[in-house]
Amino acid sequence: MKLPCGVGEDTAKATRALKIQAKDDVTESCERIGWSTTSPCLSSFVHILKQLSGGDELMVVWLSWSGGTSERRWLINKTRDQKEVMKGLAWYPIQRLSEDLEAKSDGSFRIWFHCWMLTKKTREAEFHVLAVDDSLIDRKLIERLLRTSSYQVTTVDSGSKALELLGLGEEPGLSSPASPDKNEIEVNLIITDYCMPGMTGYDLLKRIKGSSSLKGIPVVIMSSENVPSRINRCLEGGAEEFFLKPIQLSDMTRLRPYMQKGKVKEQQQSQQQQQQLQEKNITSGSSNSNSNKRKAMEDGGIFPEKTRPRLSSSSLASV
Amino acid sequence: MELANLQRRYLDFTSPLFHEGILDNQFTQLQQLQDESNPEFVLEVVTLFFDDSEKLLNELTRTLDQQVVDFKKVDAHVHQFKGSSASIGAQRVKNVCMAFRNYCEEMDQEGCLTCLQQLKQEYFLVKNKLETLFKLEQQIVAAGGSIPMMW
Repeated sequence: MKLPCGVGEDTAKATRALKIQAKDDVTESCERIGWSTTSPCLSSFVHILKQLSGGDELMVVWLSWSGGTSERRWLINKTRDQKEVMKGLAWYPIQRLSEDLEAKSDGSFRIWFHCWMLTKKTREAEFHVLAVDDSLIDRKLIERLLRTSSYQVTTVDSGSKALELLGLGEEPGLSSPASPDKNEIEVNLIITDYCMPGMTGYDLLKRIKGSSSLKGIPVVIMSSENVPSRINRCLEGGAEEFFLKPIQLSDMTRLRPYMQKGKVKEQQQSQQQQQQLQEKNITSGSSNSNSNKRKAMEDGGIFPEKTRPRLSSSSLASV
Repeated sequence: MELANLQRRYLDFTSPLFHEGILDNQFTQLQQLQDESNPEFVLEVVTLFFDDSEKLLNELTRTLDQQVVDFKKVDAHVHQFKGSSASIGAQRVKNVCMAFRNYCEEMDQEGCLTCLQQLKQEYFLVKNKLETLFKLEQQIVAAGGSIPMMW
């Protein structure tokens, strides 16, 4: 959408030109807007954005400006590529935008904006993170970090509470993926502290990775101590990454790829399970004992030799 | 202008805190997380830190005062203190905690007691500074201005 370059403060003109539609689908609500203005127009620009957003907090995710020379300077995120933007590059709150731009401009040159805008509400529902930490201060911090990054957050103060929320019983092996009345929450990533009384972050990791229903959920471990053997142990135990505390906003951007990958895996897993059910019907007359079959289901698709050729290669992928 | 003076005072008060290592970058991180949707975020976290710390200091005093000192317990408290001070950017407090843990490992009661003293000093110093910082911020906001950021 090309907009008239506005020198001066024609807010009515700019309002017509800037059309922001809030839609449910995240990709579609991302509008690319270009506008050029001199710095006195800055406050009206921000004012318009606020009005059009209908009071929702807008996040400008991409912005560039140019000074007296024609050189473009990047304020946030160096790409206009929508896919890159959607990967969760740093979000920039509107309030800060106006302050920073005012600080940078001196009225003598034009500011050119290219903005991608998303209404915050749309993004929020995308991913849900479960944060586990016994420290109240750290829980408050991680919650704020995650919320600022537009994730839905649930915090708990122990590994056992986390497992409860996720629908796993106290004793390992009691989970039944086929139980119809489970009302546990759906989680796209678990971020947990390592040092906790009772169940450590590592113990929690092992329980999750040992559960057929939960092993697909990516787990990230945090610790205030930089102990290489501990880090390796966690990574080998299936953790995606190990963060050193204190956690920072920039660390949050590293989480998104794991959650996206997790969602894809989830889809694959449910496809697998469907296939398994089909296979089970076909092979129900086989000579293999029931216990073998149950184990096969738990292991996610490793079938006795007889039926292996029927499975596609993707469902044989090891986790 | 009154507001400009308040803002100047705020900056003059705050920058030395960073230069002297009383606060570090983590505190700045907290400030960056504060916005219109969470205008009291830093105050809330720091208040939690104050409550937590005073409990820990009492516990530490009590535990080190025993006939037979349970160094594991002391270490656990110091570990917690270290974590919380690191999380809010109270650098000097954190550094004392690190030294403190070494004395715990060596089961050195004298060393621990000395560290506890230092810990109390550094804690009350940062508490005092932060309380003043929040007062100055309140004054600026009351005068209709915004808090100048150093980042």
